[in-house]
Amino acid sequence: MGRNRILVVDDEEIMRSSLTDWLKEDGYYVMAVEDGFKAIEKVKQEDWDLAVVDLKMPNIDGLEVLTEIGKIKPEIPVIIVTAYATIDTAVMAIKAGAADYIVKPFNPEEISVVIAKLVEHQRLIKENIRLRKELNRRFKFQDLIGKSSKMLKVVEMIKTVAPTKSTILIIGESGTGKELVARAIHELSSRNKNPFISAACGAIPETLLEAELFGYEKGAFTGAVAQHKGRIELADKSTLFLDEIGDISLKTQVNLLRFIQEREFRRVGGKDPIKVDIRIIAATNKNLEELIASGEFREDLYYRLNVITIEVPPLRERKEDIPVLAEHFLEKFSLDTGKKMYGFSDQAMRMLMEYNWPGNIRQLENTIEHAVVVASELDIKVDDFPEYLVVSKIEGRAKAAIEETNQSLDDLEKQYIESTLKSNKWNIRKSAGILGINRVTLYNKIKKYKLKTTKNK
Amino acid sequence: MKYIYLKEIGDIKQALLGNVIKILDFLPFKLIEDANYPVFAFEPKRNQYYAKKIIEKMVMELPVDCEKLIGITDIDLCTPVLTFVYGEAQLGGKVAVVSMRRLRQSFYSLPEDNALLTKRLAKVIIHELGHCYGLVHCNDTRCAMYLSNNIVSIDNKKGNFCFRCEEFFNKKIRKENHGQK
Repeated sequence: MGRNRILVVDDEEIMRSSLTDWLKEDGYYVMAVEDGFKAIEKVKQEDWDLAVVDLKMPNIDGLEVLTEIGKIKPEIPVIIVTAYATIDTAVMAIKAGAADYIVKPFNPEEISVVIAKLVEHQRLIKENIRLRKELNRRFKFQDLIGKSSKMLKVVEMIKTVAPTKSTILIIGESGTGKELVARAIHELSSRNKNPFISAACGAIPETLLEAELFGYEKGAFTGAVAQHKGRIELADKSTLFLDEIGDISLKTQVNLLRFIQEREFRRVGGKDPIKVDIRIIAATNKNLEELIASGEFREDLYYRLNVITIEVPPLRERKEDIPVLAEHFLEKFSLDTGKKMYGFSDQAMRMLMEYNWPGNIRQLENTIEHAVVVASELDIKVDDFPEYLVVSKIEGRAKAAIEETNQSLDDLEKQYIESTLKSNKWNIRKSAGILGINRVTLYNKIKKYKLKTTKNK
Repeated sequence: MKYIYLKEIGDIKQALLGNVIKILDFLPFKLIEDANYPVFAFEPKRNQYYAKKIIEKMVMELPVDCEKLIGITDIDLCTPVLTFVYGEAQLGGKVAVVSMRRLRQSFYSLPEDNALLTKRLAKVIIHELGHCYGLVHCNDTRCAMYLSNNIVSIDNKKGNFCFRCEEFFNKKIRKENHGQK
């Protein structure tokens, strides 16, 4: 992090140099200018964390400088300093937007606290802006990548339901991007100015989930040392995303149902009902109807949640999206790791297309991240993928053969590897490429099946 | 060899400075004195002395074998923008000045305590010396480079640098004494 930058504006040279010297000892970068015009120029040209402006100056006084800074960069806090303090000027300065008003000479303790407080406040504002940008960068509607008809249907559905207030149930296997769908609905709704609040119900222990969702009052239970707002309260005028809804207990289901019906709740240990305006989006990778049949999920809650259903297809059912998803993740991890990657070799892409992706997009994302990290060339090659992908490929081919010949999996794998090696004159690199495995794996398989070259015999 | 000079400005008991040097024995100190009070730096409206004016004069009188020069005085120091200072230094420069006035227990209407005064004085000297070697204030409340705006915080901190400030300080000393990088 760079040094905090303070602009000092005072017409008296002795004041400027004295304040500058003192602030420099505190580690700040300080620039001092002698009049308001120069100060305004500096504010236009550069970024400042704080401006310390003298009230009485010729030509343009401190209050005018304060007003101008407020117009150009309102985020810069301004301290007005003066040797001639009056209540009137103090009131005027504060009304004009001054962050503080201090009389010269300053008590060192007072000025230190004021400056440190404002600089810290400024740092937090900047951090907040940076984090928001980061969040926006991380989530874009375009993250819902896909040209397949199934995915286009999902996107159309999102656009249709987003402006409404309806509760939505998103179903789909783990890793298919259910949270991305929920975020997209939030971003396209009128609630998007408020933060998207999510609760991973399955990840929070049963005993804590109620406190986490509904909040609690001080003294509600051992350890409740202060009042705590729950996710529901935090999501007021926004969207609450309840992930893994199929994992919550029947007791919490009852409380949640009551909340959804009445749109008000009580904090744990609280007496007064709290009304909130939230839109609920729930998601699950479980079959809720089966859970209802087995008595693990309340039917009435299911119908409350299942007003509109969006089903996110698994990746194996939209394989045509794999190339564009893979390219997207490649670009993302190239940026994150600072490695310039240009694409995938034909064999590598074929391997991605052939795999059935039980872990869906999350697994694809992790696979590409792995490949980008280990890649030594500008293209992602088969060798760069994790072992499970290449092993699965051989096993997949062998399994297909088993069905035809009734041989064991190992026998078929052995035969397949042996024939590939022979037809390529035991060229390991070439054979590995054709088999879609890396050379180390091929050597291991050769060892395992005790295969021997016959080319010199 | 170059020395760090402690210059007595006005009337100060040499014995006290001798004890301070014993605390700061890891540096090569020399003592000199100037019995004259810096009347040129006096600000009658505030009944205090401007530290910077004293420093400006001291810069003109640097001894030949002087690495840094720290003035020690019993008068109350201030700057144009601050109501008082315990000390003032040229950041990355040669000269600093330290006042004992607000380090004395008697300033707070308590019985005088020379041992405590010696400790406080050593802390402020090492702080200003740190500034002369380019160190800025440190966030560690126990480090000598922590910004102390009151006597409690001076008493609270230790008389030496934290690990990071010490590393910087030693590097600077080596560089300035031997031209090393």
